[in-house]
Amino acid sequence: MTEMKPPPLPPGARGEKIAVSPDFPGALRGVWLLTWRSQLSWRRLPGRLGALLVLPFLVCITTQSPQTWATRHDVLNQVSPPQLNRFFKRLQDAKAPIQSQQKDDLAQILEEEYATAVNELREAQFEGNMDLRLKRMRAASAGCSERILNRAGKVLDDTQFSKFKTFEAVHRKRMDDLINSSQSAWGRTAPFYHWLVDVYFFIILPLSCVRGCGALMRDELQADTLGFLVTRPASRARLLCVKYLSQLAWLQILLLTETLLLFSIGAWRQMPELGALLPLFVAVQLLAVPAWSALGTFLGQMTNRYMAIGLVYGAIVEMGIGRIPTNINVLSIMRHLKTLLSHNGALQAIYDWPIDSAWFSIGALAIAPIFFLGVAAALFSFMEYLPASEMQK
Amino acid sequence: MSAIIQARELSRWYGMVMGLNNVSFEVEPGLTGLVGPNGAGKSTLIQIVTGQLQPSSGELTVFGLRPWNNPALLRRIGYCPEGEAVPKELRPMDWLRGLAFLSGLPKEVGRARCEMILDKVKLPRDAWGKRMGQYSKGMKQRVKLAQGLLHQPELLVLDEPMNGLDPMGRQEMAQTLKGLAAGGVHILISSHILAELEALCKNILVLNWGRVLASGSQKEVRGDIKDWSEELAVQCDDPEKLARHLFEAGVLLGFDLDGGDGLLHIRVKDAASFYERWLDLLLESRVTVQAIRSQSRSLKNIYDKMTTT
Repeated sequence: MTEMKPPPLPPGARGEKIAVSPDFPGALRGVWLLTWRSQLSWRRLPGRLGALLVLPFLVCITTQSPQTWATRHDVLNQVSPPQLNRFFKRLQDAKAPIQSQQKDDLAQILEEEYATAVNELREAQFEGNMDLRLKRMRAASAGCSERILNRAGKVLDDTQFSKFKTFEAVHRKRMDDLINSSQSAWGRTAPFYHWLVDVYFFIILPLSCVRGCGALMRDELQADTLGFLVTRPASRARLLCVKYLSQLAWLQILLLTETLLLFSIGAWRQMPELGALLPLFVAVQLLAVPAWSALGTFLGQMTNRYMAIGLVYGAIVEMGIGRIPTNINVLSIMRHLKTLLSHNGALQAIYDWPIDSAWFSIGALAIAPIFFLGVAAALFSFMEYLPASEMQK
Repeated sequence: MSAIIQARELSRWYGMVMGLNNVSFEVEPGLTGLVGPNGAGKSTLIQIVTGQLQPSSGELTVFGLRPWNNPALLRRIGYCPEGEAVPKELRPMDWLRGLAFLSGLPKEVGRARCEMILDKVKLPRDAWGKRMGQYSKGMKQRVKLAQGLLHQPELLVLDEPMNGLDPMGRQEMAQTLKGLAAGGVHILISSHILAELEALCKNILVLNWGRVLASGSQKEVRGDIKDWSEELAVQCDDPEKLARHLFEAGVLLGFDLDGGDGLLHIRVKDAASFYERWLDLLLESRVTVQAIRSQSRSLKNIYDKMTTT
């Protein structure tokens, strides 16, 4: 019987001198381990999941499926029995009283034609192309009105029919207005795109990135743990870069999860053209997160009030300078994101953003993180950051 | 061997507040204690030594190099900060492994080294699986010491490492530090538990109000103090007789008889001449002495003397 030898211990396990060679990949690996291990604990998991689910929940309760939408916005349900009774009274006042048989026939005509039109309109709701959908709904409305008038002409006398044409014309106009207002710009999809683009992509995502990366070193300072990192054999610039990259990876994972949750809710609610939007949206998000995160890192190195300064930056640069119709608006990150998103037909139809060169915007979004991170690394290399305990003295 | 830390006209301000005021000193190899009251500048000095702060003026070098943003030097320095701050959500192995990667240790070496170091600082193995937020002060101190030792530094800088440790823990920590020093690691340690520094450190550096009051070996520092009134406790068979004899010889400033237990407390002004005459005086008195102990040359008394004059 051969004796099994234990595996040899790696160098350093017994305390003998080991060769230390700090390099960038090793530092990145170490900081990434510290980042995800501290973020993904069982204690923090419920909070994280809750935060991720808040927005999808809001989207869920404020958007409607095509069926619900069609029921609630059924344009042909506008002619109700009380309205018909008022019309019959007007005929009587005009000395052209309507007989009970005529009443029954007219009510039957309206009921049958409305039922036909409702089906046509529901089918039209599933049309993906917004222009075609609108066209089909208008055609359904016009056809319904035409059929009603044709059949009513055979039931009513000339005086009654003349009054009925006016009654029907008023309702037809009301139906068309409703179709136009509800379908041309936003319609059923409005709340979803409002949450996805205006709230999530242009508010929550930038704020999450600025908060997450502004706190890179500030949270370490607050917790008095920065000393453990800056006394490691790594330059301060390298330390900041690996902290940024680790936090960036974490943010990308969180925000991609959030995006997929939102698109899942959209798909469940049968929002049109989501399949075409998803790849573009994710690609633009992958560019947006490094830019906003680098901005947050830079602001975090400048001041401990990085969120307040970030909001001021947003108001001045993104909301102000970014909207000036001259070349100076290239300074705005949002402007480049809009340029890229405008290549999706559905978003372009809704927002009508100016379409500029996509390659220029991609270049600008690639340069922004390098610029902000470079300045942040320079600041961290030359500036001192006093621990919280020291600042209290 | 030349000094490991050299400061030349080193000053550090925090706005209008002075942290260190134009100090010059050298720290010799081995174990050195950093002594001073709160606000003396100990933490400021430690943070400059470990490259966390820059001098406002003057210069400080460690192994001949400036510490600020100097990875080559930081590779040779380990640091254990004051306070209880450790990442609360992490387990010690995860934290140490992350820091090991950051220090340049390969994966397998880092893991083995982390385990070895945690054993070395005597963190119980059943605590390795807990998050550090659940740790006692003493356990946090041990993990903090472990992270400072990860990359086998030549100089270990410890800011109040005994805080939170029970007497047994302090004893173990002292043994660990002595073992490291015996293995060739230079240690700079600040502590307000002066008795332990006295037993541990050959050299001391006394700071107060941002100034260096004394530096060097404990013996040299004691020798630097002028007009030192020595206090001795003498255990003998006839304290009254001995006190009378010493008084008549004119060497005493004062004395106290301590009840009936044969203990005599005496104060002498010129310690050097007293010790020269001490054996003769004892023979002349014909008193039998069982024990004699200096009460005024403890580090605490030296420190009190220096910081109050």
